[in-house]
Amino acid sequence: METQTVHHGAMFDTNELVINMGPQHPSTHGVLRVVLRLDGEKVVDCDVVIGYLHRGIEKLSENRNWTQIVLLTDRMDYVAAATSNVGYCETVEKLLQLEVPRRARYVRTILCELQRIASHCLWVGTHAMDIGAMTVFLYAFRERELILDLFEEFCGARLTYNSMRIGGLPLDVPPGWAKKVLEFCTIMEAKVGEYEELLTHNRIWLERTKGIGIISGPEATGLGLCGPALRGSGVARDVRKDEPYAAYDEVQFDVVIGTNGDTYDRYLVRMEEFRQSLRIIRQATEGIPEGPIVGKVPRLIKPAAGETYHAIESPKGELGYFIVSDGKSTNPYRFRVRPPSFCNLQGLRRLVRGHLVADVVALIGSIDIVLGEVDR
Amino acid sequence: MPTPLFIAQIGLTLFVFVMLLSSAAGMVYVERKVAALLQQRIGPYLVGPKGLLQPLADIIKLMFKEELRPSAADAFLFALAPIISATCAFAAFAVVPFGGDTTLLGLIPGGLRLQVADVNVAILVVFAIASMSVYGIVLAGWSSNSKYSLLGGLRSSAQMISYELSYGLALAGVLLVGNSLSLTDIVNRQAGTWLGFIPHWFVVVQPIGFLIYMTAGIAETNRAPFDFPEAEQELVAGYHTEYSSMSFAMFFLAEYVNMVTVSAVATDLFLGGWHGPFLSESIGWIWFLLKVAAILFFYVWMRWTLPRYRYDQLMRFGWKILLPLAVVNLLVTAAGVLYFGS
Amino acid sequence: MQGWLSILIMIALGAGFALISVLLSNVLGPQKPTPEKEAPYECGMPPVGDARERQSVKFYLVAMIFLLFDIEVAFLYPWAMALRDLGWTGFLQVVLFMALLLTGYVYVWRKGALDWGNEKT
Repeated sequence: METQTVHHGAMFDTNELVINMGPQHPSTHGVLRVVLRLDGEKVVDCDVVIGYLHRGIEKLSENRNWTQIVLLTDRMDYVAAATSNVGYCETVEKLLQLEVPRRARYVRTILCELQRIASHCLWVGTHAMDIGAMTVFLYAFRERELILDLFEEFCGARLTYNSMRIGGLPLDVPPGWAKKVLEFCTIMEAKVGEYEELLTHNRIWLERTKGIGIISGPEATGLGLCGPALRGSGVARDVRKDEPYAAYDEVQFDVVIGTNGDTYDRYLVRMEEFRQSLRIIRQATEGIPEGPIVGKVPRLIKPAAGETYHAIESPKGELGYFIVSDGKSTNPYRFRVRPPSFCNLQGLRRLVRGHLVADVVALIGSIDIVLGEVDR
Repeated sequence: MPTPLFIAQIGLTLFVFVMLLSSAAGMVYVERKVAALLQQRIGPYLVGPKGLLQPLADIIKLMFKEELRPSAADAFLFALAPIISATCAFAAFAVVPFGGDTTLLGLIPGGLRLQVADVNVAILVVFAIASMSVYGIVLAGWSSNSKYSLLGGLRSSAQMISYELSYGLALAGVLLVGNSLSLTDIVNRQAGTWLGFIPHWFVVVQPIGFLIYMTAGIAETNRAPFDFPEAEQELVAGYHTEYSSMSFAMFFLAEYVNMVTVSAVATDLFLGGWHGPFLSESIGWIWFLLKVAAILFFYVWMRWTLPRYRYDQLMRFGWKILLPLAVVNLLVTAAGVLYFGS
Repeated sequence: MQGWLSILIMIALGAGFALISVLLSNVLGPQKPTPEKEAPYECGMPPVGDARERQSVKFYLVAMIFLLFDIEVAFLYPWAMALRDLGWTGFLQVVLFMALLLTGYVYVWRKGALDWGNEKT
């Protein structure tokens, strides 16, 4: 990166400092590398360098059959793996024009929302830790553990679930699971209040987040931001409402939006999403219908030639899958993911300009990225 | 001919030194245990009973680690910086009295004052040495030739000199009320009570001064929420990014000893030192320890509860709020002293 | 004098302890330097440029203002000790002294020297 001289008058010219933040840095949330150009502590410009976690999931998928790919999608957003599973399976079902039983759709809704809470738990913990409030991190991970326990009971795994099958679910929910989910909702409701007590009205928190990284609605849309990062700027875009999937058209919830589009608003949006998710989980768990868990899936999945795009609302934003089938092989011809973290990361450069070094970590936290998904 | 008093004095110096060392080690343990308590964890529990030997294990581990030095670093200053930090930390405590006169069970005729050095300008010494400790950090930051260290060093120098003003002005307020530069005299002026139940502590007449002192003290010792020089989420480890092994441990030691010193001075200046109900003066040091422990706990509690301020906000707070407040506090105190007499 | 001697002993103890522990770890610890280990930390990347270039740190301003105010504090210590003898006259003199400094303080504030700027570029 080219540096420039900053002119303060003949004797006082200074040089800009180029500093690498990442890939080995405590608060770049993985192996993100941000090259900062600093004037003093002020960020003049930054370059975001990605690719340190690239595993070629998209290309790899072209050599895997349709069922095997579910496993690969786990490795993208590893803090909300089930969401990626659901998104992929629904895309293939759309391509196959497959009817998914209602029971499976309800369970998917519950899983997706549990994952949203798990992901937001991780986010609130790391975001607060980036700004220096260490304790919230452990509180949030304590609750995330409960969700992992629920998942362990459902599918046996705690991080990469492989918990979906094309056409429905691999297994029915274990007996008594629904009750445990409802119990979790009661616990979580109180704990969200606990996080908010530590942060929302904390003066230091307010000073660190209010007015930092303001981005207007149209600008955020223009940059392709999605999810809470976009809703924080007051754009009510939520795939769950706009293009309902799973059982989202049968449950009541509100799309939370912010007003100023700063870090604090993005924080508030996510905090409220905790509550909305709990609301959805309660409705879905109580209204879970009886019936089969898998639809009429052909023994050999081999969609007819064609292409489809399907998006779901992952915890980080609009997670889209674009799949092309050539109709001849049992592999996809082209597999492409629109990862929300990647799109949100684009906004980072715009957000950090003119802020201080300390704000960079707050902003990386506020757009909530997972490098596994950015690099794929 | 060394008198028994002189020998006792040397013994006391050594004793204080060892106690400071172990208090720093103890603070590491307490910090981790209190953090664990606040975060609903267990904390260290494997090494020794209830993990009590954990700090010792840490030191032994660090001792056997490689001392790394960046090839582009300034070798002499790089080695000097941690030593300056540690030395300043110990020296500052030398003038802090921590108990009344004691005869050590009758061994020393005439009695020994529990204080390493009873100098008549103790406050000035504390103030001077506290200002010195910034050198260790600045030199560490600069000599490493690493950008993170440099930013950390610059931050801390700006921060420490900014808060030193308020720190100094808060001390001046106590000087006015106590009318002495000797810490022992100031403590002794805080004996007794008003109306029989309000302790004669200067925190009662100098509440704002106490708050300013505590805030500036946290900033001076680089503790959260003012721990910018080593803000690990931004600057990785700030000025000691490049340090390893015992050189790194020296910075750590200095930080904890400084904390103890700031708390001890706060106790002497504002909280009546070793004066308190129920205990006679000869065992007043128990009160002293309790008060220091309370302040230290407060420090740890703050660190694990609050987010961190941003650098510019800290400077703004120091210059635009704390400094005017400290000046006003001083003038009001002066007027009060003149109006009410001493 | 005994007091100052004790301070010296304390300083010697502190410096000696620090020196000995650092030396000890030099003796006890391994010494296997590699170019990678000796490079300054920059998040695992080869460092870009040198850390010792001229940079804007806004620091010299703070340092200068600090000097002025620190001298003020130094003046106030003897004044604080002597206030009871000086009486209200001494108090007024210091108020005047403060007023002069206040003017300078307001000036640097208005000039923006106390702002560490978060303004957008």
